[in-house]
Amino acid sequence: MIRAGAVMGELAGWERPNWFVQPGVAPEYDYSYGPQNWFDCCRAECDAIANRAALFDQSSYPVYMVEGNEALVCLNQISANNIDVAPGSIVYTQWLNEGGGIEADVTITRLSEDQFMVVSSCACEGRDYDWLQQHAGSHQVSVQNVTSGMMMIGLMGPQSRDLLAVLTHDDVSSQALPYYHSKEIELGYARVRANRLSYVGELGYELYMPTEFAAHVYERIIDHGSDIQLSHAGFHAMNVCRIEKGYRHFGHDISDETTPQAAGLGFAVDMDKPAFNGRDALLGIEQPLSERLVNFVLQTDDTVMIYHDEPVFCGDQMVGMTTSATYGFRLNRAVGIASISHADGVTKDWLQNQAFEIEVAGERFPISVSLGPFYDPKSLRIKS
Amino acid sequence: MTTALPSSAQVVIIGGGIVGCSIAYHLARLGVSDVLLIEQNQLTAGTTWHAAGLVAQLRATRNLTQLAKYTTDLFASLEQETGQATGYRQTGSISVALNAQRMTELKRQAGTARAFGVASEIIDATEIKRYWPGLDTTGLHGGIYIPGDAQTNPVDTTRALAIGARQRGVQISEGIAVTGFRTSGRTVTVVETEVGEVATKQVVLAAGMWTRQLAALLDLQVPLQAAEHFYIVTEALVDLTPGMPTLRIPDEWAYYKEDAGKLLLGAFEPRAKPWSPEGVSRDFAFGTLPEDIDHFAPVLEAAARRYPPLQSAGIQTFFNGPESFTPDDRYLLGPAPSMDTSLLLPVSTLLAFNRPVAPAKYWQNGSWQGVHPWISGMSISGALSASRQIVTTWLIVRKSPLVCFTRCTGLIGSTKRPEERVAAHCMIR
Repeated sequence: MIRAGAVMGELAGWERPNWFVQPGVAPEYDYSYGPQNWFDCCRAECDAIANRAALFDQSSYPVYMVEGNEALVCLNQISANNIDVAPGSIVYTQWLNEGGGIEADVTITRLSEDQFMVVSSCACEGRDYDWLQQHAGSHQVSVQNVTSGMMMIGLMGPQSRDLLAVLTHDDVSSQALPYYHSKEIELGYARVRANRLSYVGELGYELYMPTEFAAHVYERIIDHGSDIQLSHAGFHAMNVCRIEKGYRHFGHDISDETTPQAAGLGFAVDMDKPAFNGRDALLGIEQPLSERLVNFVLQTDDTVMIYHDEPVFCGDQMVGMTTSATYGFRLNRAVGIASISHADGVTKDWLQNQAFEIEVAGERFPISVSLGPFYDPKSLRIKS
Repeated sequence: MTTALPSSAQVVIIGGGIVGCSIAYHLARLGVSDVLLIEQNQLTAGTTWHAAGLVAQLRATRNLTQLAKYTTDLFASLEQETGQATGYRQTGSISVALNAQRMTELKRQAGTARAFGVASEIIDATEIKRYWPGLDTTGLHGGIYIPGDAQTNPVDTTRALAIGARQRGVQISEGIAVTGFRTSGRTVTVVETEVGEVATKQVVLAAGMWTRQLAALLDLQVPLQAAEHFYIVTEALVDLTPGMPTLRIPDEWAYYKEDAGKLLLGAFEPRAKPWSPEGVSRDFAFGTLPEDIDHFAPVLEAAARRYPPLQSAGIQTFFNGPESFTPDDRYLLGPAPSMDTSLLLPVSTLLAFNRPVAPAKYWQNGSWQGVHPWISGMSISGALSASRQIVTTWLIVRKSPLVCFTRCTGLIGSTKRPEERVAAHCMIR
């Protein structure tokens, strides 16, 4: 990655590529409260993600294998979404505590009747594994943290499928591998699990392989990637894209004090399931919600830097604060997620009829807010 | 005060610093009085005794800020409740900027303070000079004044918490070291000490810089390392007046505190000096370390220019003592990974004055619940906590909390690549 121009950062003990230098740019941070020195490089990465394809080194993503007779029972008790899906399907779900707060935000791939692969986010490796172990309890289930043995390469962008099709003889068409589905494919010498999903809001794949095959698979992808001008991309670009798409991040936007409803993640809860951890608390939530997360964009094209915890105003009233934000290179606007409170309910109508502003370093900036994302609100791109 | 240990206790707290005593006090206030606190030397003997006692309200997250605000309220009322003076004074604090970037940061802090409900005010050099008359304001861009910030006497405050705990039935036993644990599955059942065993269901590790080695007895890897921490105390200075706000000059790594007519000048220098990575002796009580003038000189020289009265002041104490730090400055709070019943709470005493009160919020129905993940440093992956060398090296290359608020708040979401590769690397080489 460093030979490819990666400028590294650290998260939870992992050293990861944050951005990749373009020719003529020094591979180092020059910290600032204005636009960052890596913006142009990140913009180029986002351009590749939106228009061609980009490769992410996501080896820091924790992977747990949950197997056994009672693996389904166990996971369905922990998860708010329904895990009882056909093998080869992927489920996005939260794990809730008794108060309905989000303890973990994961994807679960059903590999077979009694085998599941759980993927979480980098900083949560320890706590999510512990949550799994704790709740596995007396179930006949084996829980293994296989993060070190499992490499993940993200291949994201509209041309990622074309590239993948060149790399494997297996059928990766949209019919054979639809959105939120998973299948094992051959890629060079390796057998690779291809999960079709994306944290950046584009057609994309998470490719999992045993670590010993990582270098080989990487080289294969790079060798064939030049045809479509495949780019490397780092975690700054990933963060930019996920915020543009309104995807929540555990620790920033959501935590154990946020319910899926307040987070706008109610779609990932299956209240038809008779029982799961946190269900009773969710039943007790009053509608409309008096506090919830919304997406926002700046109304002007100022490159003002918004990160998180900036106050949000409705007139003179402080009504909330940002939970994560960035400059969005696909939207060409500062964009983010904010937590907004309103005693009578944070409803779509109410939001539409108010004027909101963000205060950054003492200055106010008008924003537009929405319950849905500003980038590809109908998710046509990821489903293409 | 050494007394016979009880044969059992509902909760055993290990460590009698500000953190352990605060947990004991808060448990007792919640009605959990079957609590035993074990201290291997005397209360405060580890690092609490030499802490600067600065109480700041604004922290990196809303939750931490709420806790810090609660601390302010608590310290203010503790004397009335226990009869033990705490030395608590609401002096306020000022952080100043020596460049435009820092000034932007302070203005952002003011916004964050507002979002978190902490009163603050952006002030100019003239006003700063009004609070600190001797200060050379050359190059000063302005500052942020937080009136609710305070100072407290660490030893007296710890005593007050201990008194409050004892009054409610907590037993505090000093001069006894813990030697081991017995466990059953994920539960600690027995705490073993030099003088006998105590059966228990809940254990709190509040042993500061000893926590790492203590936790190792439970096969827990705690990423915590002591570093040398320096300050000086001058002779009495006529330019100082009681109740001056704490002054922080992050661009010169320094903090200034008026202390009984003397000046306490401390620093969070850009490169830390880890101390004793192999572990800390049981007998290190009220311990100090050799001074290191060369290491402290850049801070002192900058301070002498910034605050000229210092140039003619006699220096009463060159202090160097260890403080423990986590690699990311977050405190470690919450049930230990892979354990059901133990709570870990080893924090830097230095920072603990803002935070020792946390447990009250999280004790429900006989167990620890709902610790916010971003409070808890338990999110640190196994990679980082795996070896002493990793933690030690990380500590050196990480910027200090005072200097680098930006990193603490995540305003800039990355670190520079350290000189040594210490993290788990990406798997593609």
